[in-house]
Amino acid sequence: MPSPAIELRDVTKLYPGPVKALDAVSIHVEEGEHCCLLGPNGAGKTTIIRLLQGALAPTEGQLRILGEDVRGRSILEVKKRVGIVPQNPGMYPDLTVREYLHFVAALYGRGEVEPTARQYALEESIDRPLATLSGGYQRRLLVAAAVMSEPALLLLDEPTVGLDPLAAAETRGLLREAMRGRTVFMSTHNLAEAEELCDTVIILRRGTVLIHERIEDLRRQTVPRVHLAALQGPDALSVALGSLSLSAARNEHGVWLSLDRAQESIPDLLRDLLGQGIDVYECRLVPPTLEDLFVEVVSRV
Amino acid sequence: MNDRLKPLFRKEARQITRSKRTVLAAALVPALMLIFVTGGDIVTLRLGFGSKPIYLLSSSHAVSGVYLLRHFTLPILITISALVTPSIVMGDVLFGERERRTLDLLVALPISALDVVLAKLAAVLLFALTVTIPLFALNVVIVSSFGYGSVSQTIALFELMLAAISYSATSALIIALIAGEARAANIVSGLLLGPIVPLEGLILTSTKGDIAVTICAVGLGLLTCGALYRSIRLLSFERLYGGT
Repeated sequence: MPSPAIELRDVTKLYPGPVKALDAVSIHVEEGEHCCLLGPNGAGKTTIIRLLQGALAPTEGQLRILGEDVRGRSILEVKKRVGIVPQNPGMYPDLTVREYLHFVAALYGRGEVEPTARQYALEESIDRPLATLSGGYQRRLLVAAAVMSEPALLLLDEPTVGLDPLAAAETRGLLREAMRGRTVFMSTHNLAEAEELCDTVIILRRGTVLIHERIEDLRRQTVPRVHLAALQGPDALSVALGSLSLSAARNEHGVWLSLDRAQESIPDLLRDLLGQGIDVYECRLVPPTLEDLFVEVVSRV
Repeated sequence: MNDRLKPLFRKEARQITRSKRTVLAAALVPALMLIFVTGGDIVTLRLGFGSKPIYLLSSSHAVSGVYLLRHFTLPILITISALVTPSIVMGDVLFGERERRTLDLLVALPISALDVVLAKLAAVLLFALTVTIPLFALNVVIVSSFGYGSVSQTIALFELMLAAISYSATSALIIALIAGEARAANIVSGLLLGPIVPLEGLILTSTKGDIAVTICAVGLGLLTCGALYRSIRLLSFERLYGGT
């Protein structure tokens, strides 16, 4: 059985204070998985990424990437197969894009600078100092540098944090390309981004793992919501639903209803409502978003 | 140099030489000490102001102004010059990396904290030597042209300069590893570098001849070894980030 791409076993991290950032966290990310680490600020996401980078040492427990202990002797060789996009790092004011990419390629021992710059539309900025690039171009450069050596694993720490919506969307587009065929471990607090780019999710809260599941499986476990609107208005609709033992949350135009096996039960529901003289003109089934799943998991555990 | 150190060294050297502020700050004090202060002292001697005998700690007999220049003033000026340059540059490359948050870029790459520090140390030492050796050579020319120098003294002073440069760079490294922020760094820097010149003055005034300069050089060399050993023991990316 192949070893997981990322493995954390009972990892605890204490910061001076002491502040417990991680409490006996165990995570397995399989090869080829696109896994997203979700959690509110202070949940321990960046601590996990930094531990995997070797920037921090765990207080207890063991971390392995691509089968090698993060604190082992061969970790630098293993890191040559890992591309890392750090969270909003500082940029050198005295190194150009070309010099930085050559520097990265030399350290990885492979990577073509000019073709990479072309691929990531950095040719026009290639002789500009890093610090003079816009936020979007800085992120573009970081993705290019991380992918240039064709790594097997990508570690992405909040890759779009601090970007305007347009630059964030562009960066997500670049990441989608970069992630193809690779194992990805990404931390974010942007649920839409997680949903767009990843297929599994780890939800962290206060340094512990709440769940690690496929987003699709999570979605199946959550009751979908239906939005109904009727000519008689939301109040009459709520009363009619109450008589059918269904509780609904009212809004300006209609009501929100949580419905088990919605696709099968909606036709009967609509017939019952019509029987009560309620003319439904809108019935919209809304699959749960990752945000709904996140709120449900966090409040459930 | 291994495959990782070469590109790191090139990056550091490029960054140091491109920072005009650092180059200027690092070259100003050595230039002042080794050229202008030394020149001023020689002019004073030539005008006859150093003809009065001076009593040192080592003996009851007096020494001349020329002796004082050769065995006290020059070693002190060379030590100050050699301590200043690496300390400024090393502080800049280590704290600069932390304060600009560019350390995050380095941590993401397949390199160790030791690689980062060795490359910075090598680049800083090379830069410090590039700045101080020509100024030292100029100083030797000035001193010798007035007949105040000797070969043995020049060698002893050169050793002292190398030892002071090494101590200054390694003490800046240890400061970066143990001090979380710039204010603490200034205090530790003061504690590590401050006593060097008074201690050296004490040795130079209590021991006669070139051997005093050699004692100072050996002492600084030992301090360098101690600081380097301690730095390597403390070294980690967590420490470079300013964690304790």
